[in-house]
Amino acid sequence: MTIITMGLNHKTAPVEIREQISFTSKEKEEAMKMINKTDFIKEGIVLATCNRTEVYIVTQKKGKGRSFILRLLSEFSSLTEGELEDYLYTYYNLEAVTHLYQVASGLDSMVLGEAQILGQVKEAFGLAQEKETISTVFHHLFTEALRVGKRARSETSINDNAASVSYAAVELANKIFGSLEKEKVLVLGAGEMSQLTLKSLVDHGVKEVFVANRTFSKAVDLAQEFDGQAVKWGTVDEWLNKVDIVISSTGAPHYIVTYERVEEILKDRGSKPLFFIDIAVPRDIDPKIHELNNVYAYNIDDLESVVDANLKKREKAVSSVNKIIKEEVKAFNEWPNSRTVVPIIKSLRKQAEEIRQEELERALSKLDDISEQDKSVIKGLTYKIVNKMLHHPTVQVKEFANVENRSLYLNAVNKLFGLEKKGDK
Amino acid sequence: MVWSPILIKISLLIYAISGGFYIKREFFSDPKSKNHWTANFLYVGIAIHTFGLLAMILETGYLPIKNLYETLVLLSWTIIVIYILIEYLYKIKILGAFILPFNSLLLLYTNFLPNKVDNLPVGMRGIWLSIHTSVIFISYGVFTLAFCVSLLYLIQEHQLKEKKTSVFYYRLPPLGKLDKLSYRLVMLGFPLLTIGILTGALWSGQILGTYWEWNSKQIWITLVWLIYAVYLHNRYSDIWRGKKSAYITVLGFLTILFTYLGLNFITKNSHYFT
Repeated sequence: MTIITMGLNHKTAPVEIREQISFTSKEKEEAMKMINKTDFIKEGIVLATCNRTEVYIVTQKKGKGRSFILRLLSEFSSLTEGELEDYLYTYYNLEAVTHLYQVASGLDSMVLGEAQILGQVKEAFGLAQEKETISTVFHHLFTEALRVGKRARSETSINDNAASVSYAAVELANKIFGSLEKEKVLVLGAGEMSQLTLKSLVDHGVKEVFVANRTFSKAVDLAQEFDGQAVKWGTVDEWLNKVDIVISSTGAPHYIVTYERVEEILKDRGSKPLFFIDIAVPRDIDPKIHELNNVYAYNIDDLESVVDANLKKREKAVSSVNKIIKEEVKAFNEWPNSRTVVPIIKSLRKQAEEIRQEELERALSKLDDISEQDKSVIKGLTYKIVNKMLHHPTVQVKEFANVENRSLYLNAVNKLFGLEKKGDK
Repeated sequence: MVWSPILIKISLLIYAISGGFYIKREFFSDPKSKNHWTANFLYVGIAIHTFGLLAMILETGYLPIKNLYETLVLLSWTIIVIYILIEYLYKIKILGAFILPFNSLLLLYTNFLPNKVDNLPVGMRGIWLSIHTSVIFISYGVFTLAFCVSLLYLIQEHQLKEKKTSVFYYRLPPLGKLDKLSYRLVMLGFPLLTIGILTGALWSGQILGTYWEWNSKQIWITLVWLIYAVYLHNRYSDIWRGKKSAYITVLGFLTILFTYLGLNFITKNSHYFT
């Protein structure tokens, strides 16, 4: 049995190539049919996202398996097998497992550690289950991969700290205010970037939203989307007084928020912090206001450098993730072996339990006038003897699963306890 | 056998080691790396410190308030206990990376102090003295924590103003949270300090016959009281918040430090037991 994965991703192929073999959902289904129809392909999954297309299979024929994937990929794209070959990578067995675990953990993603890929793996897994293109091996492998992906994100900081400008703005707001539930946001300009940043803020707890735009109707549209309130462009100065966070991304050629204006606001504001996010180019907010006490003004470059720093931070977590993956790959490697010993342990236990009950009944039938309490003492005694006797053999059999000449040992266990004979009956 | 000095030394050792662990964990390792036994190690230290304090009380038959050695042991105990409460309630573990080394230094200092088990003359004992000293030291402990929290605030504020993304930016709690916490701590410490001063005056009136004589200790403690009173007033009326408030708690702490330790060096001590 060989596990093979073959495919291409953003590291090996440019977007022109990737877009040609990104499977549509209909194509995926057809590919599934092909997997089901082919005899020597035991199990198969297609994982296709915008940055990667990969096919995972289980087969007994290594060479034929590989050319099957190549044919499949070429058939669902406009490229010939020869053309494709330059962009493809192939992994076998444990390397394939390692690769899948890395993909699930986000190590192989364009934005390191991002969590979307986990959903995409889950989806591919779900589809394969539905179309019945997988069985024991991939069921186990993909369940494990999803678990490894979750583990990587919860036990390391691979997915911590914002990796996009809009999330970096939220992160900074959090660093300033602590929690965003009580903070009010004013949005200047109803462009796409404002909307994105506003959405991130609302996702992180902001409740009160005000939107101002030169074209009032656009302000109304954006405000509605977030249960906010649209305000007239002419009244912006007054509103600056009432909010805690200002997002600005207008197309204005000059500063909209001036130093003098903010200085004036501060006079009646007490000392509650005021946070300006300027994502417009040219800038909307006078950067000098950052020098004022309790005022923080971050522009698009500042946010981007926060993102850069965050990604570097994520890179530091890669080695911890790899450690987890190594551990999990080892566990996966041991899995088929432990699968072989489970039945032995089961029949060993079953045999002992049968003997215990038989002998217990016989003994109890000979003892007429004993109380229920005495009975339960005897019962408990039989349990304890059986469990203690079997404890060590059980542990040992599990250990045998991973030694080199395990079949020899396991045969010995079978012979010692007469397990096979029983099974034959 | 006198147990307390040994117990205190062991707890000092544990605090110093835990401090190292805290610094390593908070600044140098993955924030999600698992907490292992080192976290519980600190609890052991606190327990031993507590036993040391109890042993001291049993050995001398009175509260540990009679000399600088004893009060430092009491103060560092207060600090660590309040810290653990904060760690539990607010999950600000990074504070430990500051508090533990500080506490270790305090305890280390006690090693160089004379520690005669000189008993307090029975004539001077009294309920007001016990309340006065213990309450004052609890308030000092609370203000020390407020100082550390404000320090964190100032560091984080600096990061955000300089637009730096150093380890502090990632590890320190949000400004809002720190500001609120130090405010709460001062709100807790201030009434304690007030009670401490009043009971001190009462005791003085009872034993010495005069309630207040404006000696240097009394002048300085009044200054401390005023600093925190101004802080609370301005913080409550929302005139100051954030950076200015943080500076005030730093100032308050430095004044306490001088009142408690500094005065001994420059004046002939007119207060009985530092």
